[in-house]
Amino acid sequence: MVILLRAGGILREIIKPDVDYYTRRIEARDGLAIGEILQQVSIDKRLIAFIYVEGKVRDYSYIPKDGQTITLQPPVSGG
Amino acid sequence: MLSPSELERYSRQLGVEGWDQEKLRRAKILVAGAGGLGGVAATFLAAAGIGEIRLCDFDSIELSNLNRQILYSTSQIGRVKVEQARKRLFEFNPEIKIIAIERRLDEHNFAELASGCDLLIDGLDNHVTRLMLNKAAFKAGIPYIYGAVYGWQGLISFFRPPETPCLACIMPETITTDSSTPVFGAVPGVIGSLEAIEAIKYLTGAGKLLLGQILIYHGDKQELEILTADKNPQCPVCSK
Repeated sequence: MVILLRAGGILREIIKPDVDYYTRRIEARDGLAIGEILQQVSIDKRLIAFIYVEGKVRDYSYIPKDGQTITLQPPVSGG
Repeated sequence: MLSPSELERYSRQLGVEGWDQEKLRRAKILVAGAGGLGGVAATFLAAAGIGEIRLCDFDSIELSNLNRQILYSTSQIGRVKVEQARKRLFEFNPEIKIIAIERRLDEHNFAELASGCDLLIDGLDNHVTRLMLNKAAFKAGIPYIYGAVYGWQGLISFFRPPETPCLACIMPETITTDSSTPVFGAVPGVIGSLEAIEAIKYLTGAGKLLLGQILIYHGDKQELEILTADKNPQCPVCSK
């Protein structure tokens, strides 16, 4: 299946966008959870505050569907 | 009952749908941090007539604060933030009580400093302290309006567990954060203003709160996203 990874801030360069400024297209085996997909593309979870899919915060056990966009929210800590 | 001067001062907001000036006058709010977020939130809350604002920060004013911390000026560099903030807010509205607390908020002094408060407003600058206050606010039963910024982006939510998730349900302690956070001053201006709006809605009962939701402001795209978030049944703070 195809998954679109989207990120801004410090994570944008780490995901190596290739679709547009914020988005990378990746091929993943059907049934893989988000945590496993992130491992496959070597993204350190400690750099991610949380993830969301279609307007809902999800945990790393969520299994995305073909074509879904997974947004990686970088830590936002300033004030 | 509002005095003639209060009636005049608040005349432009008294007609706002759902507004209740008496409730605001009775309210007590703790603002944790008097920087970019806390300074803006406290300014609008003072101007709106919140009865008591406790402003807590242990820092002094630095030159690098002045791109976003609009309560302060260049001539005040080196002075204690909360004291300057108290004076500035009092100039805005001398009819309310503004208490400057020059201390570092922690899990040991939170209950004392927040005693009797209706709300905690986040004006902090790091994730670790936010998680600590999230826990302390949960223990004290005080709702927590979370706000944070980075670069062009800002986040806000209203945490009131057990009804809603708490910060620790969504963001783990293990995340790595940058010690010097880049930020364009208008972004904490936006998020601090949204925090003030959220506080007024909670205190008056007007409108709809960001319960179980996170609002993300993307200044680089001028977009807003509102996410839903569930409670984490394994949350180390609010699931116990």
